Amino acid sequence: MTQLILLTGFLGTGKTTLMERLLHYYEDSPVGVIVNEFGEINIDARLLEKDGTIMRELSNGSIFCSCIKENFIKALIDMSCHEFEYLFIEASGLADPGNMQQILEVIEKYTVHSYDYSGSICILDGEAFLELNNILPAVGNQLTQAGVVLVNKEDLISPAIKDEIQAEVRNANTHAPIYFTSYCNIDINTLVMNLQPSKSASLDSTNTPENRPQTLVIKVLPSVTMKELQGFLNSIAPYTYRMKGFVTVGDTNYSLSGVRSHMMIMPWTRDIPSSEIVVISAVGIGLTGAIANAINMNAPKSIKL
Amino acid sequence: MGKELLMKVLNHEDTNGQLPWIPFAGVHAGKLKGYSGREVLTDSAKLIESLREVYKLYQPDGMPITFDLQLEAEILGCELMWADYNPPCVVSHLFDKEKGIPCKCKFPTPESGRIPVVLEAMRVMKEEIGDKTALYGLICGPLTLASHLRGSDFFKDIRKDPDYVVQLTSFCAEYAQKMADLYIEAGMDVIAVVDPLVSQISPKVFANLMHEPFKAVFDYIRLKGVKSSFFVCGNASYQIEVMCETHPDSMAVDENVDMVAAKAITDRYNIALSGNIPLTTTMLFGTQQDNIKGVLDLIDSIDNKHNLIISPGCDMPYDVPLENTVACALAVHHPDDARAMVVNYSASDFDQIEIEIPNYSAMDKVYIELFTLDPEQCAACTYMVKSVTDIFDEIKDMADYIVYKYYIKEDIARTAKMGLKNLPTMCLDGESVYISIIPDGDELIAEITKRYNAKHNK
Repeated sequence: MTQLILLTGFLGTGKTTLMERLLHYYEDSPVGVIVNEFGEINIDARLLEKDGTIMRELSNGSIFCSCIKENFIKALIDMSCHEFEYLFIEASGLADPGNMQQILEVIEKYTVHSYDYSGSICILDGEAFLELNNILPAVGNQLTQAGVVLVNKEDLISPAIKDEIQAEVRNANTHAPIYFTSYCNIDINTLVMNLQPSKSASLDSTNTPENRPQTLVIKVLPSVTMKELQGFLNSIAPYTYRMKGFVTVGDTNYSLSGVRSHMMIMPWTRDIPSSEIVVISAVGIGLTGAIANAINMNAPKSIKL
Repeated sequence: MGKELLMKVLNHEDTNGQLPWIPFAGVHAGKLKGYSGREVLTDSAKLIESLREVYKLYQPDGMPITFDLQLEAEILGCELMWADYNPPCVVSHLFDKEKGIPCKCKFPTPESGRIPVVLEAMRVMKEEIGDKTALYGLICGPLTLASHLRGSDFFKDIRKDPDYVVQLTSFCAEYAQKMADLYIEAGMDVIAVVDPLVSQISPKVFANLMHEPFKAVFDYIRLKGVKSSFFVCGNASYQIEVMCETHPDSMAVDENVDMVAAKAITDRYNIALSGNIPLTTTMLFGTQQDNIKGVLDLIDSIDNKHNLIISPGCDMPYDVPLENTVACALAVHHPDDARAMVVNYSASDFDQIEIEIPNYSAMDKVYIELFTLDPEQCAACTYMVKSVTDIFDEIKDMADYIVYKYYIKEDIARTAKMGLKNLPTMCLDGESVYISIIPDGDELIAEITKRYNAKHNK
């Protein structure tokens, strides 16, 4: 029987970091991974690429939304052919996992090796949680459905904020253990052993094809300077939920990850598929105009759609 | 002339008074090859054949591939009613009973609905003529698409449920961006956002509810590195300013809009203005003379020739006579020659010129007379003449030919004496056989052979 663990959390909370830690911890065990990205390009799959890991990418929507739920179900059935000890699923930041249990019931009779749902680990961005909470119903449901709550970026928050987060989380989810960490640095065994399926009732996912925020892919030419790139990103940040991708600046590759005004640009030593940033709009179609202005102001020749 | 000229105007550069010309031949393209509107909108081979003819005869500096505002609605589930000589119309609406927003999983792909037909034509035309003429991909604007989806209640929603209007038009704008992606990928130089309904809402409503979705589409097209145009039909005189605020590179208006007044506004925004030869009174029902005169009057009425494109007001009616469009092309590209022709049209002293009509029956061979506006500058005339010269080796024992030019006094008098109203026309032994229709080689050889044999009682 394969233990199935779901990773949820709003955009940029640290799901991929935790996934890396899980894969490292279980590197000698047979594990599979499903990575779900909201945008058209699966950046996280690139970050997690590792020899020997069997991985499926599901892009362009939430796996709990009817738009790609069918592909998710097929991927779960396909992956059940392998005798995994664990199957980790990284949901997109906007995923509402309310219908996870329903999906597992549907596929039960089609799976080769059956799944045992261990539950979902919901990762919160300690620094941004209080600001972002309640923006989208999907995010509230990630918390409600969680078997464990991991509050990340502890190093960036005060004890008072910590108390406030604790109270908010408990308000939404009465039973899930809560851990505070930085960089998802937690004892993986403790985390997994304390994980349990949610006691909350299964719900219809609020992810619908109609309410998917717009995503756009921005192309960055190597001629861009770091100053131009940062200027551009700062200009559009207020209009986005999330930005991530890989970029080439001069001769150097970087991975880029941003949630609103929180931005990380790190050198990336491996090859990158293309110098592109996926951006999820927080302002509907208004993002196009914001991008146009930001390009004009910062890098009219080196950044384009 | 050609793509370079049009692109200069779309880049707001100086063209030394030379004006580009765009014939909006939608279903009308099919007429040139004898296909119905439905055939050219559903069959890429027939569409391509028709577009080649548009290019050949009308010498466009820019041309649309299709003019069909229903394509997107059909993909999204609206039913269409087809007509042979018009574009189809939407007859059922997805949300006329209950408000809704379509699934984003229905965003267009290269395989959706009739998009493969359009993309195939785009690719072929791009390869064949893409260097010489600017190609336009036309997409349905967010307002018109929203009303296709919701039906007439959409106008009620504008008053009573603006939040819904914002949601639905946002979806439609995102849809338009995806359509633009497909057409840009297929090589289109200009994406035209066609939204006839803009003229049906007040400027205030446009500014409040439509500015953002339209601007998002035009911003997007610009970011993709191609030019944009905002097509509107009807009396959009009061909406021009708010349309300019959405920042298209150009705008096209029909005969309901006063070009002079509209241009004064578009000039302030440095937006190119395209228009507005009257579609029915002039192009469909007028004579060649009316069309030449109409274009010249239009050009003369506008002082500032910068940022100006001459085009029909909107999608040309199916039955516009070929020779009228040819006349428009000539007048835009060669206004001085066209002016001389107008003088010739109205001059009466040609009656005094003695013209001898040949005694056809006494001639041994079939006598081909090619009556042209100008065999060098009018494309249709060039092809009419070529249709004879290309096969002349094969018919030279059976036929002789002569070319008449409408800028030579004697030829004008001859045209009048023959009672010809449309040019180019090919007469065989004094009978006008091909009026604005260019025969293919085999057809012409067969016709000449038949007539030659009849003369010699074979």
